[in-house]
Amino acid sequence: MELFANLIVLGILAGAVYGLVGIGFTMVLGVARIANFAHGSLVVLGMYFTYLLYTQVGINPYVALLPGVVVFAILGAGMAALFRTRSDAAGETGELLLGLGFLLIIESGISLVAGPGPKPLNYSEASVNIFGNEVEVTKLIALGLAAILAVAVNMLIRSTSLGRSMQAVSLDAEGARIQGISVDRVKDATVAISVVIAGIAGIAISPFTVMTPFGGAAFLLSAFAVVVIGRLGSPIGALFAGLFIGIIQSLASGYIASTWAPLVSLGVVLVFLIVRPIRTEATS
Amino acid sequence: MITSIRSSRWFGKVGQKLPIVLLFIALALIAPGLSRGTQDTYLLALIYALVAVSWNFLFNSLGVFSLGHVVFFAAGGYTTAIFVSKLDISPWLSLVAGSVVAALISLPIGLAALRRRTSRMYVALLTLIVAQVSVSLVGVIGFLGGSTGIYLEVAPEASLGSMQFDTAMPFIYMLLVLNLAAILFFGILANSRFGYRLRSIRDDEVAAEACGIAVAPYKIAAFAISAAAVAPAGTIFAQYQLLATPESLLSINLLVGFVIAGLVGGATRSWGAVVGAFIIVPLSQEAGKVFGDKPGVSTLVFALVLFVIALVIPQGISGTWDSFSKKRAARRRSILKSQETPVGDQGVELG
Repeated sequence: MELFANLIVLGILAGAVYGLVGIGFTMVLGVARIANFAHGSLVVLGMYFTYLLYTQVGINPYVALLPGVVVFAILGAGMAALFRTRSDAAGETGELLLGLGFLLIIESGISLVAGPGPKPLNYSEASVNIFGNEVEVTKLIALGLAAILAVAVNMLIRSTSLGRSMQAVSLDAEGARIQGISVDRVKDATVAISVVIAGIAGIAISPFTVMTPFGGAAFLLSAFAVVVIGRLGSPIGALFAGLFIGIIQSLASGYIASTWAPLVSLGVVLVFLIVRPIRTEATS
Repeated sequence: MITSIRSSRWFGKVGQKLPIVLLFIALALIAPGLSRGTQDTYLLALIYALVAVSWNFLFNSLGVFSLGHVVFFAAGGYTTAIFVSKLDISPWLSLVAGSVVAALISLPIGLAALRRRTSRMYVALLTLIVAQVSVSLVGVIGFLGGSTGIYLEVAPEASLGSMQFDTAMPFIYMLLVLNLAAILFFGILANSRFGYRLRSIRDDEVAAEACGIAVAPYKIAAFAISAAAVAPAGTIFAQYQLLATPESLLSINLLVGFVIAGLVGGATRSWGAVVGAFIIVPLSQEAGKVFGDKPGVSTLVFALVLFVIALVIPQGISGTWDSFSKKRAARRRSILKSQETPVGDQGVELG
């Protein structure tokens, strides 16, 4: 029973990471209808961004959030512009290619600049005791940040005019256009916001995650799992789906073997897709 | 009377294929004259071409954008590695067995990704994730040699029976034959009842279903056929390198390279894949050499090529060629002012 409680605690902490990564992805997929393959790599980029500032300039990772938001907002705006020019000319395939291109550029760029090996941040190992579990404070902060972000994005979607436009575009882009909503601008904003959230996620998890240039694939998988399980376009759903996957993975690695953790998420995704596929219209 | 029409039509189809057959004969004649290093590149290009041909079939006939073909490629490679090193079975059998394994692996993926009407990006996303996860998955499976992979047992002497040779030439001939066979096979398949139904599904799934086509089985079957056709490329690659590791068979460079080879050439013509592979493989290899073989460079080249395709030639070379010749034909017609033969949709026909 104690093992079980421990695994639950660990699962919730791991799940917070998945939730963080998933919040941005569920938005870009749900509203802009762009499968941004680079989402996981953007999280990795956020981690290396923190690493750079912390080791070279000595900036605290949580202070790095401020310049991080600015940098990733600019990056996101650029990516959004490229995605838009492409979807106008080459449709969905163009978007897929661009996403893949971004993924490769970020991965190979990081490995060329920082080297392909893993890097730890060595920031703080302070921990508190929860149910007999030593839990790092940085992980608790990430959990808190995930919750705050989910609520904040939820408020953005529900109570601002941009958010309501996002809902409209997500439901019916053509209808939204007829109602006078600038669909392109809403999509651009969504892409940019999702990139910023990916960056924040990377910065928030950098203190306790060993970073490698090619870690983006695992994040993309968890982000996709979060989208498949949680409702598409719902940040709160993404948070809870993340926690769900975290707990399942933690239980699986505790009772079976830790090496099977990625298979667990993939299995969950496949089962969910077969049993309860995402409702989307086919390619138009 | 009927038979004569049939035979002339059949003859016409063979005539259409003639340029491709000649192209392959030319490719086969060039190969022995090349230097050893160039032959390696040549072989790699043919491997990419073989995968890209069946990727293109799937993309063109069904509109499915698969990023998981590298998994089926690896299935072929690992099958032959296990056959040779663990079970002591002839690698020639693994050409077939690898295809069966690949088709079996494709079934759950197809079931999850294609059973319902899902948009193209979900299929791409799911297959990308399957491909990426299988790297770490293969790494923990002891039977597949974990992350160090399987070294194929070297036969006492190079021979046809062991599918191990002193030069790259026998592999090149095998690949040329397989490429030609794949192009002809998919060309026939695309113009069969099966192919027409796939295209009707691609264009409008609801309408196809309303016409009584069992949409899901067709999609999953097409996916499995495409997967099975990829596996022999992996088998030959593993035999050539005498190696089956997650890095050699499942790398992201292969994953993306296959797709790029297909798209550079263009999906609308079967020769597109071959042209694409012969452009992209030497390009990435040369770039690697120029920039001192740093690990990320060839990936970066692929990324840049992706941007070029997405921004400049979304239809690929063959698609651009088609629209160019369409325009030229239209101009000629307007000059002649004869409107009797409208140019049909050339994007449909493979061949």
